[in-house]
Amino acid sequence: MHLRKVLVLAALLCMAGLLAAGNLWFAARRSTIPLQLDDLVIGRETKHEKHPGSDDVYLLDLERRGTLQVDKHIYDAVHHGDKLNKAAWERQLIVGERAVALTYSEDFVGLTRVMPASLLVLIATACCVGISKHPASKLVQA
Amino acid sequence: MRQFIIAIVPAVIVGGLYELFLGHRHDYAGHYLAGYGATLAAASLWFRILPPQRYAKSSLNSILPGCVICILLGVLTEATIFRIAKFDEIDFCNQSLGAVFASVAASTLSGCGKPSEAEIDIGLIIGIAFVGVGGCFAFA
Repeated sequence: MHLRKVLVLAALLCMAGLLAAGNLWFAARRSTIPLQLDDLVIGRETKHEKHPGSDDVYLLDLERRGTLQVDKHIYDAVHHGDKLNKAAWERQLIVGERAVALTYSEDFVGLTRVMPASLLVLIATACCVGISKHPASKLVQA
Repeated sequence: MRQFIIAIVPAVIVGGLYELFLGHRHDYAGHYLAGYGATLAAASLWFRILPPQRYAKSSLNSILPGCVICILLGVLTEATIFRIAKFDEIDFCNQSLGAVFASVAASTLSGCGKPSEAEIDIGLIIGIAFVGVGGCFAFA
């Protein structure tokens, strides 16, 4: 029983690791820094979320890639008909003839702190759960 | 007592981390807490209906599938009733992370003899409370 519980906890830790990595990836992707781009802007749209002005969604329609959610400073620097160009992990986006400096968003920076710390909390919790024995376990052994 | 500490303290610490480092986005903490609470409540309800003779085995075996089902239900709600601008991948990751934390906490009561209904009900109440707090953070 104990080994199975350890395996269940290990699987949950793996799932948490994947979700934390996903969180970081999706936030980083909105900065476009990890992306390779060679595309044309054919549309742009702002959509409001629960708190208009603070959690708005900025979408670019790109000819090849389709819809791409980006951070506000990128959205503001790009207009309909602009040609976008950059290599993956480059910190500069070429918009037509202009170069736009790319930075990670406040969300991404915050997540780089919260995700590792959360995983440490989860590992500590899993260790506590793994070594704990519920009083009712005596009933099973009896 | 240990089970209640495990059900509350880690979730509160992580919620605090969200607020500390992502205080400009209360909805991130909200999604995490709501995912945590909903999964803990669902696990408590499931533990409540399991017969005592099958409890030890079934409770442990159901932790992983239960977690996956809760994550998928989260996908469904995020894609439908909570879809405002678009399906938000970060909201999905945060609420799913909450579901994983709740599954770890719920596993404290698994793989053993069936706890008393009062113990399980406290898990249910804690879960509902976290859903309420998460909802406040997400929408307030």
